[in-house]
Amino acid sequence: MGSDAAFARDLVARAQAEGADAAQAITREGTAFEVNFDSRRLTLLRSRIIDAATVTAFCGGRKGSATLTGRDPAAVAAAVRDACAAAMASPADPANGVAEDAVTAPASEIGAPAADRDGMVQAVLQHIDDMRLEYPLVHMREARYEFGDLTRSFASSTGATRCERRGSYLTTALFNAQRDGKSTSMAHHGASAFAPFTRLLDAGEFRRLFSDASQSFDPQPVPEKFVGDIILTPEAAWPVLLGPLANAISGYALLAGTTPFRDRLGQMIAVPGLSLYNQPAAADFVYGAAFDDYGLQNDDLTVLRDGVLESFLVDHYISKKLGMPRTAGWWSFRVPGGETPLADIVAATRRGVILTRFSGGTPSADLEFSGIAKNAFYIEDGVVRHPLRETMISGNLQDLLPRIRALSRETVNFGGSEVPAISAGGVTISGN
Amino acid sequence: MLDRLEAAVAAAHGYTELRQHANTATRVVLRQGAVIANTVEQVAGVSARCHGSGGFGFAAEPDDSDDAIARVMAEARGNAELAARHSAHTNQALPTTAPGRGVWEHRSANAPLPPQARIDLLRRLDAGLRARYRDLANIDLVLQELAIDKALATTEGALAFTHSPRTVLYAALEYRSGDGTPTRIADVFGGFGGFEDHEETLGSDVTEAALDRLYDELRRKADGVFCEAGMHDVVLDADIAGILAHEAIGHTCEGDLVLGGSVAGPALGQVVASEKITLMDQAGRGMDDAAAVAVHVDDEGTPCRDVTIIDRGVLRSFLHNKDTALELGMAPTGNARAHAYSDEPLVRMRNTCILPGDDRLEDMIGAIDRGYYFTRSGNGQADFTGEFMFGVTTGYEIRGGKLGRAIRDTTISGVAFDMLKAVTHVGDRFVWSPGGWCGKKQIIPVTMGGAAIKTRINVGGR
Repeated sequence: MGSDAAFARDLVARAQAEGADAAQAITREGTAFEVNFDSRRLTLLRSRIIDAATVTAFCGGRKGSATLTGRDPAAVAAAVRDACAAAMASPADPANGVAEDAVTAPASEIGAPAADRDGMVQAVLQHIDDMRLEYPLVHMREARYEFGDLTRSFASSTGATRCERRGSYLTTALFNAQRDGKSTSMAHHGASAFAPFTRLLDAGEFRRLFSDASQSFDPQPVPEKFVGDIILTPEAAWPVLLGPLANAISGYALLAGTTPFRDRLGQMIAVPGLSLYNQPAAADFVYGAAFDDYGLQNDDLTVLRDGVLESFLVDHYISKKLGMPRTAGWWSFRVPGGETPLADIVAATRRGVILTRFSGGTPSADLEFSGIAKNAFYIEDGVVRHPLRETMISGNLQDLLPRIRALSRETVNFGGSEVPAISAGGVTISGN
Repeated sequence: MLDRLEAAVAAAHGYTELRQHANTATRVVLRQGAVIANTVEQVAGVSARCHGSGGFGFAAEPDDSDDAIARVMAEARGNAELAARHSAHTNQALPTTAPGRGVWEHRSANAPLPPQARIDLLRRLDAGLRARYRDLANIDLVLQELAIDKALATTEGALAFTHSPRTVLYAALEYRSGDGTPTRIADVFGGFGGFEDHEETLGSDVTEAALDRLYDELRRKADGVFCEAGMHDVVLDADIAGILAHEAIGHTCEGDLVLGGSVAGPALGQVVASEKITLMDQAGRGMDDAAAVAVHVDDEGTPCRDVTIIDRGVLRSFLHNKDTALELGMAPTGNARAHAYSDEPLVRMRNTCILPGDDRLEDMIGAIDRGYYFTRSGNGQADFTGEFMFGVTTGYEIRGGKLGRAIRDTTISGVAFDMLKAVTHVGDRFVWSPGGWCGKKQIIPVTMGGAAIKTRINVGGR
């Protein structure tokens, strides 16, 4: 299916015939099969044919795109017309255009070729039995075991073509624990791999998180408002700290011109122990990619080295727009772990909170954040005291980065990122 | 299309839903005056869902030919049989209702506008703001249109088509203070209908005046103060009350979350709120035919009906699809919705709101000696336990019954039923949000509505 990027090339040719002076197209073809379940049974088996394409037309520095699903000739013709009409309506922008330096490279392939449907069903049935035996208090909702086979192809009017196929498995679940009519907070986890999971219970961090949920009954608020430490487990480190940081150093934040990091390139913005690498093409990132949406190779990038901001995250358009080097058209980040086991980080915490989920909004423009610590525990004198409820944490991302105390030795690979647990001080923690 | 679906489903063996579904979206994004996105998207195809012995099977293809219809029906039946073979748990049939039948076009009488009109509108608004307010550090303008076309036929006799369009303009303004601190504020305009229905209003003095007020609020916020962390008496304006209805209450009353152990499950028939609170999830386009989402027949073919979740403080009903209705021994309510052709229907809200009361906003503010008046929310989340949080992006101190200084961004949180029991006032002005979204495996457009409420809540801050 589509390994020669033929449909992408056809869309580019059609856009040029419609009046575009340059064009590019990305197609996504494949199949997906998922087994949905809860704690008691299979709830739904779902299969999908995936066939989508985006064509982008450039006309004298004007840009417009159209996306369609399927190959109906009338819909394909309409999409090409829509892309060209959108381009003609846009103002000219010298930054618009195909990537002239995109080159053709051999097609690549990684992962399982097709879903083992019976094997997946059996794995889920086994998982339901395992859960009854090992975590009887945990109830799963919206759980699924999924296989996706996706071929992503690129073509542009420079003649460059790229093609990559990935076959991968994902298991994910929403869950809580229930006992005597009481429910703990909702938690969520997912794990992905190129090969089928031998045993779903052993995938990712499910065991640790199921165990946490089983110990989260009778939560209490923190005893009083205080300024203390937060330990972000790998599940929370991305949404609280690293995701907002990535957004704040992205090219689109630089275009807005208001990010507090805009003048910090080459400066120390975090503790020396924190490094951040963008590695979309790494072999262990299921949701990585060999090339970006401009057909450009995804190279490794050092974003933060030992706390120093070495690179902004700049794609092809922003590089042209702001006259900066193109660095990152696709994000798959890795933060190396530290030397300390997570248990020792907890033991070294005088007063604080360890949290697995953060129920909060996007940080404000000045990177202030506040939200609720979920699936969280109160720590005092190095000991986990009790599960928490109604506990608000607030601080500022810029202030937090230099106050990082430790990164755990353990890291978790989420398929599109790999991060350790991170502890930091100086956070306001308050309860009801 | 309905004829083809009806003929195809007539040949089905066992319970089957067959849906042809197209989502057509346009999106134009202006940042710093540059058009950084200008896209048209049509996600369309056909799907089938079958049921047997407690198992569901689903299949979808991006194609609505007769061959594709036959393939998805066969694949979905095969999936249902595979599920039933391995995990059969009941021989009970899904509950039946009167079949939903009808055509709801909601199509504009105005002629469609060309792409140039969208770009022109945004550039005009952008240029106007830059001319009037030269100290703005950044302006983001996003115009998003989504038209949902769904045709549905089921083996229970449902046959329905709905065209539901929505157009939203998102405007965000940023200001940088002398010390370099950025401040951002945003608002949403538009609502039900296509761009051609909203272009005149969005380009009018009314929108410009609203953007002028937004700028004034931005400057006040830039000089604003951080909230004092802790419990406070607050007035939540109508927009926030609407999100509260959806996030904090609505989700806990969805049948699948009730089965998952939500705090609402054991509380049916109990007092969970002040008697001033009546909270509904409304069908169609809501009680005033003005909500931003139109849902007349759900994606299982059930005619949608209004659900009074809380009636004058008492928890009365949950939201159901056929599966949760079967499990809980209740009737389907028409809340089974799927976002795209390739999505299966889940229990989802439609137009969820707190009904207005008879209190005046100034009396509510006047009743607070020391607290806050919160007017805009960025986002919200809730939990099985009823614990919820919302980001607050605009608000003011209340001191001695009067509005005081503006506040910086903050977060509010609470436990839904505790917070509703603490409500002492419900405002007399009702507002639907123009453009809400809800995420639950799939994202889906929803409307949230409400009137201002006075209550007591946990506020984040320093």
